[in-house]
Amino acid sequence: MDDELTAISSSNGMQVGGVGSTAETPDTCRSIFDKAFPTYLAMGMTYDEFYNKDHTLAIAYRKAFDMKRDQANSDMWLQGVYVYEAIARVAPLLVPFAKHPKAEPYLEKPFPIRKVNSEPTGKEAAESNAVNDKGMAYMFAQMMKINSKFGEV
Amino acid sequence: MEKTLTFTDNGKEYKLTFNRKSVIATENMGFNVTEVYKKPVYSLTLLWRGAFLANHSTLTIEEVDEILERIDKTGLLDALIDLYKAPVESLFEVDEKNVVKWTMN
Repeated sequence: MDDELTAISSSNGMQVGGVGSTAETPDTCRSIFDKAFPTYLAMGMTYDEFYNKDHTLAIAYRKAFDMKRDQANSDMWLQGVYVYEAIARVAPLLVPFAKHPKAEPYLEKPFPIRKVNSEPTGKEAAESNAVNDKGMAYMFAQMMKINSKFGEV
Repeated sequence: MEKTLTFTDNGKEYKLTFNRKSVIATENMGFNVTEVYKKPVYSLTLLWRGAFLANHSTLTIEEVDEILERIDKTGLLDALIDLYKAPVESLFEVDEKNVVKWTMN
């Protein structure tokens, strides 16, 4: 890289040397770049992109890297949820001395992770409404029962 | 997008900027950011030459210096320092939510 940089400046007749001309000198821009480069290399940035292209690419690479890490974190969390769900469904089999234990089957569908997947359609929506109505009726019955107790006192 | 200093001279458009390689090359020419205001003319010349390396590396040093002689130098040094700093600054994370803004009157 030294030779390449020397070639750039000397090809234009520019003098090379002076303060900050060695890689060992601390606090030069070169030392900052050389320290940072492996990090950006690990993020997928090439040598050409880092040294020769638009320097703002580094910001985009950093943001993209953060997004990838967030995504990986979410994926691992989701996997944990599936494992938890699976264990919960076979939990009845693990109860000692239980008579006729029965495990629930594994989830028929994956959990919806996008909004477009999460909206129930047709039969699912009707089932969901039926469950809600049943819940409301139960709640109402409970309220009436409690109110009637207070009425007796 | 990277910062650029643009101007037209004799019908040719110039876009001056620094990438990391031209920052290193400018340093290798002898530019030292800590001495900018001690040696402003020297620093301006080196920064000016360095700013051509990214997009106009085919120009000779005489051509670059000749443009510098004719160009309006008001605020030029500060503008070039801004260009020079940008590739370094882009490596540092800025917490945009907690950044303290300032103004100059």
